[in-house]
Amino acid sequence: MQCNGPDGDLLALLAASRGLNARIFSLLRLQLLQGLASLGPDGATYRELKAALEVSDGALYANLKALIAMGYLEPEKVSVENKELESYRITPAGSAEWDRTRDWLCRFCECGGDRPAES
Amino acid sequence: MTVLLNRDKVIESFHQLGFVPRVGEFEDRILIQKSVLLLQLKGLGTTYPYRLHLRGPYSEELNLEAFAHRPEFESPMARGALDRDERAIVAEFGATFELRPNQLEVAGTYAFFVSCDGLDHLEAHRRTRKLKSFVPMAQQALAISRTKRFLYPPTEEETREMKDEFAVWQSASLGSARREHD
Repeated sequence: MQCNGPDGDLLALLAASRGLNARIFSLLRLQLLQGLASLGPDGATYRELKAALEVSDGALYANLKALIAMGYLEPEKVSVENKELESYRITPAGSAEWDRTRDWLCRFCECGGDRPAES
Repeated sequence: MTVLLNRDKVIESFHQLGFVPRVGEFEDRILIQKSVLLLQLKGLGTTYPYRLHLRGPYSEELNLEAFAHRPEFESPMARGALDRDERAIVAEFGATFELRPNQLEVAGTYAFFVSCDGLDHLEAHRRTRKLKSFVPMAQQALAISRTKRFLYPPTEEETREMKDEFAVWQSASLGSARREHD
């Protein structure tokens, strides 16, 4: 009998999840936080986000608005070739929340990553 | 030491190009990012690490350095950091591209896909069009054409093949122009 499973770690992992903000756990919100975290204070414009993530205006706008309301993103007006554009950058609170979430997801995938053997 | 060398080369390149960046301006940070990438790929000798982000290729290190040494970036001066070949690269860059964000965004992204990701030109074109879909098609085509001229010029053999391939059309078009003139 093997007794070296990840149960102990799993319980700690589940307990740690209670410190996370469950409202950021949607694909698009995670993609936005991950993408904007790596751009730091530079951020990205709405049109860049839309082109890279290939989502509808409705979905993008609603999720950006939700992350702004949580205090994780902040909008800014920028000018590119005489056009005024909306740009978004991650806040220190957003960056900290993303770090926590990323660390937890990495641990979660390692602990819960057992797959049934392929036949 | 390497970092200082990088910065010196970049600042002197900007001086040669007559580019006086305002580091606090989003638009100018695009120009800094993409012009350094293109110059680096051509052989300027800088070593900024670029990775693909939502906005295309981007170097966090370069961005941090521009803010950390903002007065130097915003008053570029000659500092003897470029040799003759490197000055020639900067001159060619200046003669090929305009310092316009949309053009350099497309050029830098295309070049990154080809030179860093090792994609063929067709796939690089396809991905650039997707990532920079907000740039009008005509501007995209112009930027990619200039990037090819700057970084991937055709070999003599390719040029000869193209001449052979287009010879018939060229001859027909000259013939038709002559007839219209007569």
